[in-house]
Amino acid sequence: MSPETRFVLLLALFLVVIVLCVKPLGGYIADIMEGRPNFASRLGGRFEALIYRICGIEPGREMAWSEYAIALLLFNILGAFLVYGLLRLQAFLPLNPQKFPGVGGDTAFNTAVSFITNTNWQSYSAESTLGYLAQMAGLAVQNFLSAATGIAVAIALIRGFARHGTKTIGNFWVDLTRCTLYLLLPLSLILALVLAAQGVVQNFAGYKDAATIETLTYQNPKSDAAGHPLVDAAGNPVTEAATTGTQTLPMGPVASQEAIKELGTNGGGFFNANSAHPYENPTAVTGILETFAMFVIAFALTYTFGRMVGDARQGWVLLITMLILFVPLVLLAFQAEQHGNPVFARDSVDQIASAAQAGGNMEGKETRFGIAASALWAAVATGTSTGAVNSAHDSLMPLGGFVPMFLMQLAEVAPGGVGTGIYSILMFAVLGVFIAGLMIGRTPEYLGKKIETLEMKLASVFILTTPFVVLIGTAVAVLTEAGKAGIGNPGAHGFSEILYAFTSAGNNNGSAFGGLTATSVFYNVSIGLTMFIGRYWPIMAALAIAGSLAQKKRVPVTEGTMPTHGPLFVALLLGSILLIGVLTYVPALALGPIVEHLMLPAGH
Amino acid sequence: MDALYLLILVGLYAVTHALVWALDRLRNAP
Repeated sequence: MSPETRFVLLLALFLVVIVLCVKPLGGYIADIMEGRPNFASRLGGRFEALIYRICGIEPGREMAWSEYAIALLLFNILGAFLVYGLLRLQAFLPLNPQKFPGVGGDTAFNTAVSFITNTNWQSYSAESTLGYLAQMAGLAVQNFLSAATGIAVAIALIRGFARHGTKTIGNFWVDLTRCTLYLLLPLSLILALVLAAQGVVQNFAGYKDAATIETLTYQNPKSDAAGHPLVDAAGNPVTEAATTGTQTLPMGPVASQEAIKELGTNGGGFFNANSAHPYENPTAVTGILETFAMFVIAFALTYTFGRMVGDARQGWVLLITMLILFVPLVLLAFQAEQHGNPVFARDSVDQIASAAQAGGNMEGKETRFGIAASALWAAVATGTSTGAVNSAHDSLMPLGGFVPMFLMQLAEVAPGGVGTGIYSILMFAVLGVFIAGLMIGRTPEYLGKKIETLEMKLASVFILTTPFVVLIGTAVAVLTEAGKAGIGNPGAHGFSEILYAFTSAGNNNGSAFGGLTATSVFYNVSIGLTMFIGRYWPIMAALAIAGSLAQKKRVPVTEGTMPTHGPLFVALLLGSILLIGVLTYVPALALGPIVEHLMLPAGH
Repeated sequence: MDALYLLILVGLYAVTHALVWALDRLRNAP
């Protein structure tokens, strides 16, 4: 069986399993978020009520959109202060067996914003920077809360479509509590136990020094007193020979963090190598489960949408649209990687898959996973807003690297992050029906709600904010010395590294082309700002639309109403998403991965 | 240094809060 056939079978099986989970999980999410009694509320109802009593929350009190938005914003910014404090003060806090010092101010700022925004961009090497308290109480807690925040926004927007003649869209505190208590915590607990059973580390022990079988001699890079790498006159790193007979094995509460990292589409690794590390992702079973966990909630929310608006077909249409966007791009990524590097082919390097080798481009890939599992993971982690990695994205072929970048640039709708995917694609649906309304000369409607000037202004704020911060951030970085100083590779690939970084930050993904050194104050601050604006400004616009739609009366369906549950609407939605994505980003992509691809045959 | 980064966080909150206010005004505009 050829690698291509194996990959198609893997992808098909994977997607079938995901789609089979959509209805039961999506229905369950609708039940818990609408407060319908089920086994979960019977088990956890008393605890939920206790949380409300302790926090002084009136669960029956509904919020207008602006109150909902301010509650969300305030809660998230307080989370940022908490994470910042934990990182800065970790030297004085418990559960830090390696005695790591406090994290630098700019890195703490970047990390705090990164984790409250569900981005999990990591400008630090986790296992050599963070103690266990910072990882658990800081980062893992935000993994739950940022995921719950995204789902809460999605549910509030869906209520906007489902309700009519009301000013309220729900209660943020109740949505946050129910989502965390009944969805994220139970699924994470189950997944963490399975991961731990498979060998993912879960302990509070200090790092272990193991004696290696052979004594290793290596070149150790030298640093100055400030910790900056030393380079010689030619710009090459200054090194000194060193030998070692031991290897340090990092430990920690990994499984519990790994579960929510994937389920909440967060992506921040306990270790720097993320899911390529054998303690995060030790077996084929964990690889498949982690890939599955990234997708399952994001897709299930399409059914939740259909259920809550009273027409399941509306949800299936969104799911089909997401799949039509995702499948060709993941096939392109696989093909680009399996095809290998034409420069190597010219030098007669054998890149054909055989029983003895994976073939293709194996640079930057974990040999345990090979090309198929790496390409699938890269597309899943960027089609969702997870950003976890099991291979080095910087080492992907130009078209292989184009795919993750473009999946993010499509505004993370294939299927997007938990919550963010569904509310983002609904914004494109609003745009799509408006364009269709202009074409046929009728007032646009979606799910019985008239889409008018106000909704279009708000949808424009939603859709344009992210490209604005991504492209402005990229432009500033390539025009300044501070920005150019981080580039690891010259030419088009260096531009790709910067474009990828701001694309990842603005779309709250978190993956990176690792060649970019983004640990400087410039990148920590600029990427921090990009992540914050890219997250909260669109959320505010989405909630404003929810408030506006909830107030509207439902328009009866007539013969002139455009159906939004058929192939025509799928085409319209695809057109809107691709039109915006392509028009916005192709000029920038042409300077990065596209020109890299075109230069390959010439040997560059 | 901490004051600077905490101030940036407060500034980001303030600007986003102002956006909520502006969008609400937009909604209530005739």
